[in-house]
Amino acid sequence: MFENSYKESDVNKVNDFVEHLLSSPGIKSEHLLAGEGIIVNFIEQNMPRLKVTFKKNQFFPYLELNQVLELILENLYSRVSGVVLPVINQFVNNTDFTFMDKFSDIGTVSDKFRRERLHDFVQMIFSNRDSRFNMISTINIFKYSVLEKYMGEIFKNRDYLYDELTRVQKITPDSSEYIILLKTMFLIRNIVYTKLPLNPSNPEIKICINDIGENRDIILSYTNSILKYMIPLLPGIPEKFIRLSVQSAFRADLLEQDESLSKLVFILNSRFQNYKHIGKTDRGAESSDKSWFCLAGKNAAHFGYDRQILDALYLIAGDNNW
Amino acid sequence: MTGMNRKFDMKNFLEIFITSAIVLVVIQTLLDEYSRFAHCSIRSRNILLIAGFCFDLIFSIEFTVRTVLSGRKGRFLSYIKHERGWVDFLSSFPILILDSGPSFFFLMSADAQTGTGAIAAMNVFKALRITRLLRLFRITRISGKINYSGSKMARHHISVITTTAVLTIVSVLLVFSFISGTSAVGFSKERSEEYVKLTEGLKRISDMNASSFREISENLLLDDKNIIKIIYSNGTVVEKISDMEFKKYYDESDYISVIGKGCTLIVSIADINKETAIEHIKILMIIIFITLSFMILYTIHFARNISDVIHILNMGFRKKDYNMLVKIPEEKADHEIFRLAKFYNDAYLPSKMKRMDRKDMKSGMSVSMKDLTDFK
Repeated sequence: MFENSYKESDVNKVNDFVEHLLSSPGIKSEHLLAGEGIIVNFIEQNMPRLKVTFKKNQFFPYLELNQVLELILENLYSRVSGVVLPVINQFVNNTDFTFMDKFSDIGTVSDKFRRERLHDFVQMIFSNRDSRFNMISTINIFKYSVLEKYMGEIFKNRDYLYDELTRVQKITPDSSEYIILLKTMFLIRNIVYTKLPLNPSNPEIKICINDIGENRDIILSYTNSILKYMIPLLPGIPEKFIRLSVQSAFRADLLEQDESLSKLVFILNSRFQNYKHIGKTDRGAESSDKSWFCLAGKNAAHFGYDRQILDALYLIAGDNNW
Repeated sequence: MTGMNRKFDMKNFLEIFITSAIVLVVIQTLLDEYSRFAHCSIRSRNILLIAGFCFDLIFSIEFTVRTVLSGRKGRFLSYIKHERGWVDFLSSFPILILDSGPSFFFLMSADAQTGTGAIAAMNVFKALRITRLLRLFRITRISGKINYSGSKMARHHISVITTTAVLTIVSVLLVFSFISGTSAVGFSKERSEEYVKLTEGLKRISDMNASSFREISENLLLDDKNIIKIIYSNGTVVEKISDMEFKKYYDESDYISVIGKGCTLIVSIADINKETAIEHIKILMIIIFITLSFMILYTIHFARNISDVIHILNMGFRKKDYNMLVKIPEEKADHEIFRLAKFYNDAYLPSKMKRMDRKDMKSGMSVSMKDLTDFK
């Protein structure tokens, strides 16, 4: 709800304006979340000019800039949440998470309670703009059943990646439970983009992943702090999984050897961040995923991807023409 | 609808019209030969003759219009040389002037006597009809739709190779028919000589036996499957088929008059025409199948090895979010184009991926103040 009350005509005009922006050539082919990000960045970069422009008759001459911005941002949020949240809520509200109790130190938690807290957590991070903009990958992975496809193949082939995820990682649920686990990790990991008061002695200071650099010790400290912050928020999600989720936001070379699950999530997150779904691959071209995993393999050191996991994903994508 | 759209639709309509006419003229040419092979009625053959004339007229008009339009834009030479205007010319006016036009004229004027001589003289130009098939290169544009190869380059190269192949066959055939004449003319001449000799022999026998020529020869001549009519020196006419049937199935190209000793024979050459027609059908089928092979098989080959690769390279170079690798067949990895593709796969795309990462895809640069001020 708006703090100020606005005329219906202003709200409608803003709606038309946002619609116009979203249909501009540079945005229309993007995911709605990316579209929101582009518009917000544009507004932030062009504030002085927009202040003058919005006063023109064709725009909002009777509104102050902050009012226009409030209306625009609210409109964008309602559009984005209307498209994205149902996809996530559908997963959170209809999934059986009870298998997680097997990996938890705190015993059995009511699955209904666990779902409610996860639901609230998702609403919380989604309402944060920085976290929300980084959820494109999560949405794409949910929308295009990426984990269902890849985990199905990993469990069928039972080769390197299967071995890494089950034996080395010491997590041995079945394929469907692994899909739920990974989806949950994709939801949780977005917390790292929200600025949080992680230092109890100085709650004024809020930090996110972009503030901590690439020092291993600082990363470890950040991970521990964020873990302390999140455990009360997500009862029933084992600490181990929350840790792996947070670690999946870091490059492979900053993680330990046995954290393959985090490395896999890091790769898949990058893959599906700027993903454009292609119905049919161009003739003469390698398939979309195969191409991406191959190129990522060549740039593995630059982007911090685990080369062996990439190779395994490349083979799966190639075998299945993905 | 805007003026541009109308112009575009008209252009499209004309393209479809001409392409359809090309397909139909190929069918007409085949049917024309088949009508001789099957010895169809004169009426059917005349309908096909008129159809052939109409098609040649359409193509001549099309060539004239293209010439005028390209001339106005100062692109006449480009049309003739690069857009294969010379093929349009070869497959229009020469046939219209030397073959279908005169045939149509004689048919309409019903000048049988003049027509007979002229048509016989024109037989040599019949070979020109085959140049109609040169136009088949134009329907290679359909191959784009058949093979999903929308590549302009693929269409161009396929039409060049199709034209070259068809032109080579047509040229060889034309040169042979002009040098050695058509086989039908040679066989007809031989047949005429045979019957002259036969009548001479029969005449000698009748003279030796002091019998009448008719008495000696009639049964023998009537048993001959080629002889349609015997006109004795005394004016008596013996017909194997009725006059109505003769007029229905025989025109001047189907029989020869053999003036022998004691009689004139009307001898059918329908069997010779049949042999010639089957030869022509074979040649036409060879040309059609060569064209189809290029259109379908070679287009697939060209697309796989050239135009598809270039399409992917082009997209990768131009579009910021296009990162598909080119498929490189192992056995062709040393071909220049796949070596280029390998460089694109191994060096260009990885470097582009890094570059795009640094550029921050989600910057506000994707939208401009113009996008915003366009709002009304």
